Formats: sequence, structure tokens, C-alpha cells
Amino acid sequence: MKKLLNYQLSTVWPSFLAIIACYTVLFILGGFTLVVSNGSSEMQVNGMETTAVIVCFSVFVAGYGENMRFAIQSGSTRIKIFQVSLINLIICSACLSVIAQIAILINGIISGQEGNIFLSLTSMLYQTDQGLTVAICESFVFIFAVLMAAGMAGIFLAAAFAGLGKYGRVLLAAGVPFFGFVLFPVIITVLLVKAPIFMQKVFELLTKIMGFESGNPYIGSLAVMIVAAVFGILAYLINRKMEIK
Amino acid sequence: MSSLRIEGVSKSYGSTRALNDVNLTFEANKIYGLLGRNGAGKTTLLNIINNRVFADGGRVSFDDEDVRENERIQSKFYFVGEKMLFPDSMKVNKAIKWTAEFYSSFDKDYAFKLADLFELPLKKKINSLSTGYKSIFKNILALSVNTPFVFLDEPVLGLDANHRELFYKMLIQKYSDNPAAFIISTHLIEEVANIIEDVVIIKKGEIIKKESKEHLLSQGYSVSGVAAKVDAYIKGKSVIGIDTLGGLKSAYVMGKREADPDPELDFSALDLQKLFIELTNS
Repeated sequence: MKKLLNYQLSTVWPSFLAIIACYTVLFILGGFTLVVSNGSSEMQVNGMETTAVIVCFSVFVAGYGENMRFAIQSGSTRIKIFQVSLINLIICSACLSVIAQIAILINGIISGQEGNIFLSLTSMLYQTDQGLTVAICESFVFIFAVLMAAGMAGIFLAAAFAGLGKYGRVLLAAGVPFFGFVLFPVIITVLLVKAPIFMQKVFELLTKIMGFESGNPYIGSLAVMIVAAVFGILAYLINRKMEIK
Repeated sequence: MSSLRIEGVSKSYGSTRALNDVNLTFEANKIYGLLGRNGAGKTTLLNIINNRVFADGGRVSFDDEDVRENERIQSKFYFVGEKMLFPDSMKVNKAIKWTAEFYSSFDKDYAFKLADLFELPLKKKINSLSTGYKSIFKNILALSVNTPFVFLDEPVLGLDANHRELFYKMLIQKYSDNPAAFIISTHLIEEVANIIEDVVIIKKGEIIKKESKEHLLSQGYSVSGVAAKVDAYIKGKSVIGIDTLGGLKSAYVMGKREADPDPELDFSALDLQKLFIELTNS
């Protein structure tokens, strides 16, 4: 297991170095954060969290199939490959969460925000006004959960892609972006117009599930971890019957 | 001694029956030739043994232990198939390094020695190698891995004559220095005929012959000479093939040779390729 984990980590650490390198370059250039601001500090958003989520998803969606093939060539079993990928995802998510927290802190210090120097996605979404340590903990847990879900979604898509036939792959490759960027927004828009009460109920439910209503990011983190687990179970089921030809 | 048993293995792809109730045993420390026409089921069989695809029915076991999803057993096998399972961007030297990490018996020095001998560029990415060099790369791993069972699917694909000869030479040397079971699936029957000890012939997903090469070839002989004389000699005999060149003829006959044949006819051992063609013709 250790050898396989070493191999998998060796395939992801260049991506981490690339993020740190990019961030450092941006920092040096003086534009190291992607700040969307209307002048009030509450609206500032640090780009590192979003970047980390995109990187985590991309690394696993792009690398899982390749790792699987190489591990099978090296005599590993599908279950072990999945276990190691899970450990790898936990390590990656933890590392990226730490990187994101550091980036948020640097952002806060450099941009000279008054009062709260730690303005993370969590503090913006949940409007929490805690001390620095609590804010970092909340942000770490929430981003870690989001990264786990993104990575698991990547593994699920990669496993589904590898397990499907020619037409299934085309359908998946075209269907996922079509659903995400065309069908889903259209459905939401139509429902907002045609069934506003139903949509209001849905939003209320989502607000509760994600902990926005109570302002508790840990509830949101738990909900996101459940999504990650669902993706994980689906990926595992595909994975155990996957044929490598 | 360890053996690999295949019992009642079947596999279908859609409506195509790739393997049908295959029963076979591979013993340790032997060189096997796994022969069959295109689509006969050779690669499917190797893929099932090596945990790449799953059989629909039957069992593959090594020392009475199921090989499916069994890492302990799979670590005793090494399979280099036609399809590369290495990452496209991986360099040759990295692939050797990582294979050595996964297989404790892998001889890295020997691999680099072979790479030097075959002039394999170590710093090149695997996907940028030519077809021939991809085969060389895979063969080097297979010869260096030192597992009890090594499976080679079309190992000389794209190799020039010099490299093919060198590969066979290194294979024999490896086999005599460090005996293991080598299962070679190939279409170049004439080339492997002198290397293999046992022959497995697969036709339309079924094993039709599994015998030692000597025994298989002793079941017949070839006779050649003037066409009329050959025709007269083979009358009433079980002839599996005939080659004609001008007034000369060669016939491949099954059965025992006559004790007192025509002195104007030449007799020789049966040709494995001819026998294969006859056995696998539709």
C-alpha cells in the first residue's frame, strides 16, 4: 500500500507545486489575490479556495484512470487502488486546505483589512464573526469537506468514464457539461417562474442542510461530506467491476 | 511445484463468445507458446489470468488460490500486453524505477543493461517510442522482473530481425539462468518454434491442443520430392497440407512414417506452423 501511495502522491505533488508557484508569482506581482470588492471588506473573496477546489477535481478526474491502469500493471487490486486513492485524496485535501488558509491569512494581512484579517469563503457564506483560531478551524473543515467532495466527484467521473463503452463515454463527456451549464440553469429558471413556492421550499431546505440558516459551517461541512461519501460509494461500485483492457 | 490452473473459464463480449469453457494448466519453469488466430481468445485468456478482465464463469487459481483480485498471487505474475498500461507521459527510466518499486525481485541493473543492449532511449517518454521500441521496453521489463510467471503478448510486434533475434537470445539466456514460466502469445510461430517447450493452441475460444512440442510434432512428418512420387506416396494417408513449387511437392502427413519409404523422397519433421494452420483452419 505504501508503494502505491508513494506513486500516487508523486503524480499529484507537481500540481501542488504549480499552485504554490503561481500564487507566489502573483504575490510578487502584487496581484496575488483575486479580489472582488465593492469597497466593503465583507465582500472580499480569496481566489485560492476556488483554485484549490478546481485543482483537486482536475487532478483526480485526470489522474485516476491512469493511476488505475498503472497499478493493475504492477499487480495491485482494484480495492487497494481505491483505498489508496481515498488516502491520497484525504492527504491532498488536507494539504490544499492548509495552503488555502495560509493564502487567506496572507491576503488579509497584505490587503490591510480593518478588524477581521481572515476573510474566507466560510466567513462570507456563514457570516460568522469569531476569533481568528475558530475562523481558521471552520474554514479548514469546510474547505476540506468541499475538496473531498470535488476529488470524489473527479474519481467517480473518471471511474464512470473508464467503465463505460464508446457511446457511454461520449454521453458522459458531453452530458456532464450540458447538464451543468445548460440544462440545470434552465430547469432552475423555469421552476423559479413556474413554481416559485416549490423553489422557495427547496432553497429553504438547502439553506437548512448547508447550515446557512443557523450560521453553522460544520453542518454544511457534514452535508458536503455526505455528498462526497455518495460519490465515493458510486465510484467504488464502478471500480470493483472495472475491466482494464 | 506451483501451477496455474484454468478451470471452465468462459467470457463473452456482447454476443461474441471470446472463451468457452477453457480448461488448462500452466506449470512452473516452462516456456509455452500460446498460439491462435486473430480473435481466438489469447489476449482475453491472458487478461483474465492477470486480473484485468473478469471471467463470466469458471475459476483461475494458482496453488489452489483464486487469482482474481488477489495481490499476493498477482505479484507472482507479470504481464506485458499489447496495450500499454503505463502513463503516457512517463519516461522509460521512471517506468523501470517504479516497476522495481512494485516488484522486489526486479533486477534494475539487468534492465538497464538490456536497455543499453537494445539501444532503448531511457530519457524518452514511453508514448513517444516507436512501436518496435515500445515492444523492446515491455520485453525488458518482462525479462528483468523475475516473477515465477511471465506472460508476453505479441512480444516481437514491430521489432526488426536483429532485435527479434536478440530478444530470443536474451529470453533463452534468462530462462537458463533464472527459470520461470514464460507464456508467449504470438503469430510468428516459426520464430518461437525452437524456443517453446509446450504448445497451447486456441481456436474460437476453445483449447484444441495442449501438448509438448515434441509430442505434437511427432504425430506427423513432412515428405518432399518430385510431385508424382509424393502424390503416389501420400495416397490414402492423412495429409494436412501441400506446398507445390514447379515440379516439386512437399506434403505434411499425420501418422507414423513407413519403415521402408521411397529412397527418392526426403523426409523431415513436421513444421509447427503448418500443423497450426491446418488445425486452426475453419
